[in-house]
Amino acid sequence: MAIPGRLLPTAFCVFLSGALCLVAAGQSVAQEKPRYGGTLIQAIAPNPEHLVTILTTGVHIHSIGCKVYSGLLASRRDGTLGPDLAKSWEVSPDGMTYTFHLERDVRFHDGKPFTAADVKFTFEQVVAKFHPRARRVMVNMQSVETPDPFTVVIRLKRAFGPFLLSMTCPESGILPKHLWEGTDVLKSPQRLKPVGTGPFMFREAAAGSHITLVRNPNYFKKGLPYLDRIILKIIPDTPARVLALEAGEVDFIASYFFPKQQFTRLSKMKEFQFQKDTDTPGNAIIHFNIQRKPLDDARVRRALYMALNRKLIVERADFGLGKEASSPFDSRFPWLVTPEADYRKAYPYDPARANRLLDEAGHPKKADGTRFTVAVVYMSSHPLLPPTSQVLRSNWADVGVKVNLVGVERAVMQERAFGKRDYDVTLQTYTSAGDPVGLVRIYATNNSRSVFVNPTWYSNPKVDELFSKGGAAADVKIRGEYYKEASKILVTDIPSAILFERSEVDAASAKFKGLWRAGTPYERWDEVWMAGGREKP
Amino acid sequence: MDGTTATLFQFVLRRALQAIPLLLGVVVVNFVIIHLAPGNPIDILVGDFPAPPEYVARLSRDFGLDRPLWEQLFLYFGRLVQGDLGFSFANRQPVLGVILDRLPATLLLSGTALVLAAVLGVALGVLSSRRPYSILDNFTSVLSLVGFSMPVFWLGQLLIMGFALELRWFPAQGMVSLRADPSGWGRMLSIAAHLILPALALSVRFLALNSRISRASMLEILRQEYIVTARAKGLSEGRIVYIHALRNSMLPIVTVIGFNFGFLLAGSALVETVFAWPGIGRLLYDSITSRDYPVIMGIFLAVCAGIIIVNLLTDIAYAYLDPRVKL
Repeated sequence: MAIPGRLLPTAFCVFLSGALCLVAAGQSVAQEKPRYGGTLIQAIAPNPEHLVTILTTGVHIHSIGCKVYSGLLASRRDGTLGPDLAKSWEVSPDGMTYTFHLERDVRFHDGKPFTAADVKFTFEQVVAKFHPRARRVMVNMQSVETPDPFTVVIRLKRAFGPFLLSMTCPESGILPKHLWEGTDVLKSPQRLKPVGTGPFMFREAAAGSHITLVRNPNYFKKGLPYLDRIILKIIPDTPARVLALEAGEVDFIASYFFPKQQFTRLSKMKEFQFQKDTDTPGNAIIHFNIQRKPLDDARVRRALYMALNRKLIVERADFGLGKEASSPFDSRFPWLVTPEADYRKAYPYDPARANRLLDEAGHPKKADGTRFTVAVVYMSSHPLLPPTSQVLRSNWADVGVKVNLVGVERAVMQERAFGKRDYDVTLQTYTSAGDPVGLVRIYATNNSRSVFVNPTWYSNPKVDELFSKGGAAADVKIRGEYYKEASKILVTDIPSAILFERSEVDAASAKFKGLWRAGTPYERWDEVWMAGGREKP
Repeated sequence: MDGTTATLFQFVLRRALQAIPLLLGVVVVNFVIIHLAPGNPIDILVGDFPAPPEYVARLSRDFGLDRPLWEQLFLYFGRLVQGDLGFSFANRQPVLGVILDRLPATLLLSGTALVLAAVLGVALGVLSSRRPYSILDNFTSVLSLVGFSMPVFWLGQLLIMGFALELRWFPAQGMVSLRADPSGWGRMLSIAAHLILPALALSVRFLALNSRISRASMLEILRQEYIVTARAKGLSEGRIVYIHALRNSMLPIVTVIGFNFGFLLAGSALVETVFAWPGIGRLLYDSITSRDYPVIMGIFLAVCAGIIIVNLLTDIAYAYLDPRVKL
């Protein structure tokens, strides 16, 4: 087709614009190719007592240790589990036997080869004895067999659906047997000089100041990691972390350490980026002491929950970033959500109805306008709980319930809420650790007085049975049915109730790419890279 | 050994012996108080997830927390006389090492703040006293009032916002530049740059106090008859102020400077927190929240010993400044 002469200049301009667009697009694609080099500084708190991921549930230690150690499995970007030290795995049809096939060309940072013996030692001698969380999973292991140096076969005593979640670094990062065997695990010098198979190697730890990790040039995933160094800087003061980010002295603050009230202001600055999707939903929860009057009456508990403006709590405590609770678990596990167990439907915010319910329950307003008084115990240093408690006091005052706020430090809260159960109402936050089984502890029968379990003494054999079945099933659809059934009972009984699903917000300098989902500062640092770096390692 | 040295030696020895029951008292009182405070270190140690009771019992046994309080105190004394400060629950290493790792940073920060507060405070006080109710005196008075009243953590954040974020003159956090990772003189300069804001924040309150005490003390001395005589003899104003008045006005100032030391250590916990300065102040705070009893006890002992030493030095300074004071 011929182009008329008068249109030639226009056609030329269109062609030129198109060509420029293509070049620009090409450059853009080229710029997105990961680069090597650079130092990332991550703020953490408090000072880590040690650097071994499998001796703790502390996120600050997992943030460091999981860059040094690897698990058999790791998270994928779609939220499912993928290979890490295990290149593949099989699960027997009865869910009782797990076979892992290990990567063959893996060496620890001291040059010694990684084999199945290290996995067996780590699981049996360390995780099963010392990990506060994964220990409960590991004691369910019948045996750990190593038929050859690169195969591990784990047989369970009872089927446990979310077992594979325990194969990730925070739960079971693999230790070198040759350095740990025969040492006192609680006192070993290896605790402060970690040697693993991960993407970064430990270089130095300056107490109270920082920990420096450097790139592992022999990492078994060829071409990774991209960064030369990661420095974990200890900044205990929350506002000071944000000031350090703004001053360019820190590049990354994980959700656990980031004050969300700063999100709106910082999100307008192009120097920063934010991750908000998460694999590990967590929430804020209210526990009623059902051993004490008048909270032993479910009608009173329902009325009190109905008197709470949960949307306002989300606004005040989580700065509008979280979400009003709908189910006794978390709606971010959609496979266990049912409209038949929805707090918003069962107990919508309705002070007038709450007043009527309290009257019916035999607690009329006295001359001074109050019905009864409750003591609300919570951790005063928690960023979410003091503002939550303020809304609670105001909302409950509207229905004639006087509230004594008892904000205490963490150690005192743990003793009062969980040890002595000396409270009327307590506010807590929980994390699911990636599976609703992490939240079962809130409602399941438990008289151990351990911290962060069920402090209400609520005990319902039917609920326990449903949890047990839900834990044993491998298929999430089947598991979901059990949890849905349990949810219906829990919404009716309401010994505890989720107030809101809390948000996760990781803040980072915009020059870093490939950052993982929020709330998991221990995941996949081998894929993070810095713009403007080298093309080759 | 001449007479003066022998007297000084006897004085130090006498004070050291007197310090022993004081330290013992500090140990007993603090040991009882921190063990009676609500909260359990094992709950903190096991973390946020339920640990089986046998695991909790094992940890309690490992750290000797299952024994009666009097037995724990007795065992602590037994170890203390051997120079063993115990084993940190939270850090899981000997307490002495934990404290010695962090002590130099605190001594650097507190020492710098003490010198700043003493030198600048006394200088401002002397200048004010030479022209009372002048513009400089009134300005210093207002500044001292503000400096003395301002909460140290707030002042620290203001300094960071002003000098680190806006002006970009000084770093905001830490003790050394981690990104540049300097060595040798570069490292020293980096530490000096990081030291300025926290030392300033820590010193302001004491600078203000020293300035007011110096002013008051100097004003009193400058009214003495021997100063009038010195003036009548035609001595220069500088000689009168700096040779005859300042030395005689130093006794209350030295007392306050010695007194500052204990409060500086206490204040360093807040400043270290705001500026992420890796000292024992922050270690103390972390140890209290995690109920790490051996570290808390170790820090109390170290601070108590430090205060005793500073008081000793203050007494020696009295004797140096005033010949009427006998050691």
